[in-house]
Amino acid sequence: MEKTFTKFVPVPTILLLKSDGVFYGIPTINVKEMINLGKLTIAPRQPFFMRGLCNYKNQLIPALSLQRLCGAKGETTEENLALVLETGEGNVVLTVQAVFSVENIEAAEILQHETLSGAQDLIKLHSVVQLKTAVFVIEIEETLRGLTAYQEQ
Amino acid sequence: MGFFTKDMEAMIEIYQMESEELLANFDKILMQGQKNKEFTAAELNELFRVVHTIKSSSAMMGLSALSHATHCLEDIFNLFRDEPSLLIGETTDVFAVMYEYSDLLKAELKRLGEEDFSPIEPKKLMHAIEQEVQHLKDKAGIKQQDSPVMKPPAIKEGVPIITAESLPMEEPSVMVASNTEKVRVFLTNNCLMENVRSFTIINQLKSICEILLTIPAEFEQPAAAGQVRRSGLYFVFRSAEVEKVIAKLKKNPYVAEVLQGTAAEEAVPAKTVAAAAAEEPAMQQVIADEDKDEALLLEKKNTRYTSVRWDKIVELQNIAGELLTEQAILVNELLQLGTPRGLEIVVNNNQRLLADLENVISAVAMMPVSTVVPQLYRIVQDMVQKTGKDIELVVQGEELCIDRNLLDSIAKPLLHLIRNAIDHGICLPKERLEAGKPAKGTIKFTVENQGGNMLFRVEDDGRGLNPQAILAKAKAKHLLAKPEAEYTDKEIWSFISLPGFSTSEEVNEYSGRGVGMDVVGATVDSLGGSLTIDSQWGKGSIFTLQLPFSITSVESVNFSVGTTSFLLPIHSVDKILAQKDLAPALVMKGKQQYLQYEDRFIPVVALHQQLALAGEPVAKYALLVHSLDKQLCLLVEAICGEQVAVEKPVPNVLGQDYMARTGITACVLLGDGSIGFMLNVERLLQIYQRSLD
Repeated sequence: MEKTFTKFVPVPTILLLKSDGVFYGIPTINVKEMINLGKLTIAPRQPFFMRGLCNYKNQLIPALSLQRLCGAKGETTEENLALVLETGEGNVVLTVQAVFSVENIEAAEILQHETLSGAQDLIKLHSVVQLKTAVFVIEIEETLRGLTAYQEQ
Repeated sequence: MGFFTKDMEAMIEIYQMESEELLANFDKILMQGQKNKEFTAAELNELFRVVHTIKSSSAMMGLSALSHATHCLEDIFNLFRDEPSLLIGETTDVFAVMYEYSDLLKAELKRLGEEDFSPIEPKKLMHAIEQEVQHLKDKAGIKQQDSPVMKPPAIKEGVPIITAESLPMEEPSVMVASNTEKVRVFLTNNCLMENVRSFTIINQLKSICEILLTIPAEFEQPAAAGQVRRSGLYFVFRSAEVEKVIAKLKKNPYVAEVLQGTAAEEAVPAKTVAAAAAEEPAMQQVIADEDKDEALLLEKKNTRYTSVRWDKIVELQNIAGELLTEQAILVNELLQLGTPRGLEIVVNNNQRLLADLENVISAVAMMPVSTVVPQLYRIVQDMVQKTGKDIELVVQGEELCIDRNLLDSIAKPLLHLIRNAIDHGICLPKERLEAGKPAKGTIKFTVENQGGNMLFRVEDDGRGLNPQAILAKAKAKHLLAKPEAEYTDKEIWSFISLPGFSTSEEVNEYSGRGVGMDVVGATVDSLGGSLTIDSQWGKGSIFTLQLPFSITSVESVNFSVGTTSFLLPIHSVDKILAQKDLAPALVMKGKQQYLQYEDRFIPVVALHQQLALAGEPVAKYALLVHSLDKQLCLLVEAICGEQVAVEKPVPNVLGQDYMARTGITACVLLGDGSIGFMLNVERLLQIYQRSLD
């Protein structure tokens, strides 16, 4: 039997991204703007999923790699696009390989399941949406909260 | 619609702000009175001014119950003013009532903005005030009907009661009833000792009237004589026989002129001073000296103040910080371009003006530590009363000023440390005597300015921390990472800063739940400071909070290791040594490298290694740095210069323990647009210490 999230709020629109052949969605409400990735400063002992700190309009914000958040431990490839995401935890940059389109998903088939994200997963999923292919919609706030508590082993 | 009308809503913020300021003053004077076991005339006048203003403004806001309670509280001060000796022996109850009033008003002020706000009926407080008034009247032997002031006026909801507007500017206001009279008395020229004469006059009149107010308020003050000579002696009295009082005044051989009513309120020319000076040259020096005091007073009077929303000041601080950063970037760019002479002058002027701007804004944002001291006294008094312990709180350095943001942030941690000292540290008098200590325990709260750092120290002579009990608790909670015997005192004390860690078997209203010390530690961390614990079982404990002087900008030394830039507050750097001076002084002791410097062996830390930085380590310089009395020698690659660093928080995503792991407390935008990392020496020392273990 399928279990649902207790507080599931549907996301009306998502920004469609792709990383290593997998499609991801970011709720557009969290996307502040898309920028070209400038110079990054590597912070001492930064976690592996972080690419560095960037100076975004005099705010020093962390740049996180979607590829590394999804588990890739090595160098990121072709992640030159940067999305500035606005969250309750502050602004954050997410570097991605490709951005496709904004998709309205209100009418799409949405799968919600409490086992979408495991406790060990760095990315916390909001839902899986069936468009032409399956799209994993990322729950940004939850993901960032989880990363704050993440301890480098 | 809520309790307040639309028009009134606009006034809520002003009422809140003014009342909060008045209450801060109220608490401060109460604390002094409780400490000294008496109120001076000036203090009583100030208390009157505070409660009278609150009473009037509360009535204007339609908070009639609060206004009424405030009115009743005035009765207590009225009794003290009539008979100062009433305070003798009144160590707890009367102050408890006044503090209860203060707490209640503060709670109401906080609730004012709530949508469903509805004023409380302070019945319990009213009852307590009435009981206290009755008690004091009994003590003074006054019957209820003898004191018309004791009867609160009938206050209709929303109707303002008598306000201070009818009284002269700058003078404390009092409730003026129909049988009161305002008088200004000028003494004869050359009568000398005008303050003593005034005191005698007032004392003589006390037998036939009730003196409500005098200006000057304190005749023993050096400036009082000059003030009387220049502006006369102003007072307000109450009597059924006003004429009799005036007649008695006029009979006094030193009284030259008596003005009554509105004439008494008018501004007074300085003719008396000029005449006196012309007639008696010997007085000229005395007058000149007093004039200096008065000039200062006048300057004070002429200084104009305005209230500014705190968030606007914070915004100003941030803008000034951004400007400083932009200026650093501009200077850097111009240096690379090769600046023409004319432009260089403009840039330098800009730099100077920005530094001035930053200094002014910093000064505006400063507040004396004394503003939090009344809260500390309150908690001591409250807990002493409830626990039966005998404790004295000694405060040193409260006059020092620090950034208000910082002060606001550490008020709660300080309260927690004081509460802990009382609850866990200091024992009951009997136990203390048995331990060979004085029955009265002492908690010392000291504030020190150590260069760019502020030290807040809470020291008690209680039982101290029990290392065995802490270790046993840590063991029970599976927190031990090595055999118990290998733990140093510092490591043992650090357990008490962990969330939920408490060795106390009892949970009471003050402590024992293990919540608090972790909050103290977290607050200090978030401010880029450090917490040090020293304790000796049976002797007492010292908790030291070391915090930056300002949390907005700090003069720093900028240096690099590999491709990473770092900064250190300039006050924590003792010396910079070049490689050629460094190499001969480096010695190995076991596996640890030390710098032999002026007969001391200072531990050497290679930042490259400690922070696991990329690239090959190159150590061209050494920075000798210190925190409190400990030194450290940091090996670095390049010294880049000085910068006023505007600190920005370390992103949360770097981890909750990032400061503890790296010693980095903030990020800084550098002149070239890149990002540097602010280090904290105390943190680096802790990391070094852990690496040895």
